[in-house]
Amino acid sequence: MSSWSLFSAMQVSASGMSAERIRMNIIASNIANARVTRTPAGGPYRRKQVVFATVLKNQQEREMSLNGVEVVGIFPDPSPFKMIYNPSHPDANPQGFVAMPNVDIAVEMIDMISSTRSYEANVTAFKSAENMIRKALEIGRR
Amino acid sequence: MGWLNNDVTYLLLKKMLDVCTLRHRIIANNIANVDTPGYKRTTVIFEEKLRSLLKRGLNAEKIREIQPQIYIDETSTWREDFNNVDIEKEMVRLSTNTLRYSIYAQLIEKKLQTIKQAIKGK
Repeated sequence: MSSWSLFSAMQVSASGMSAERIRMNIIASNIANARVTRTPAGGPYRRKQVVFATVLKNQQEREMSLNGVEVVGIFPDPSPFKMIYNPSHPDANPQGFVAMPNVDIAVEMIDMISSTRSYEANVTAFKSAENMIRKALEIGRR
Repeated sequence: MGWLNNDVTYLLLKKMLDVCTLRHRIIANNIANVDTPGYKRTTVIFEEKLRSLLKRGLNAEKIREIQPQIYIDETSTWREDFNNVDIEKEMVRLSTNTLRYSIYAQLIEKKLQTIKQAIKGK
């Protein structure tokens, strides 16, 4: 029980903030590349998404698995590209269709709001831990 | 400080501070995992155990023995990603827990002040 200190709780909140920031970076990348038709890998930009997982210190003891969250990977979205009819585009195929990235701006904006709120929730938890430590320091001060 | 370590009030307040710390950790973990698919929220069970102990009478030995229990809530899966963290509820629990911690810290402070006053005699 002694390992449950407030400082380790702060680490947990920090892991949440870090994971949400990575998610936010990926969302920003998706929005910035929403109309990119040429990438180093060839073809249009493919939407990326982050995958979160609980940090498991010990797989056997589930009680010990309370160490926050981590990003286990950034994976491409396998959904098909949007085919937009635009014959004047230099990347149009012989039928006049351009393959555009499978990024939906509305989805990205909603994800961004969700990510911001989750980040703020972690900040609040962190500040609470800080306040608790300050309270503990007041014991025996006077 | 043997006599103080057998004081029921002091021991109980100490225990409550420990429970609040543990609970904070658990809530922080739930909040950090709010977007993790398949995550199940955890809670701490202590007050219920304490309540049943109170009915049977309290002493220093019993307070030392009683331990908070971590419980994984596997039941409700109303979210599409099988995560059952309700962020609003967790935030309310978080601030309640922080306020409780302040209360217990202040009570310990008062307790110690009273002892100090008795020693000084003024």
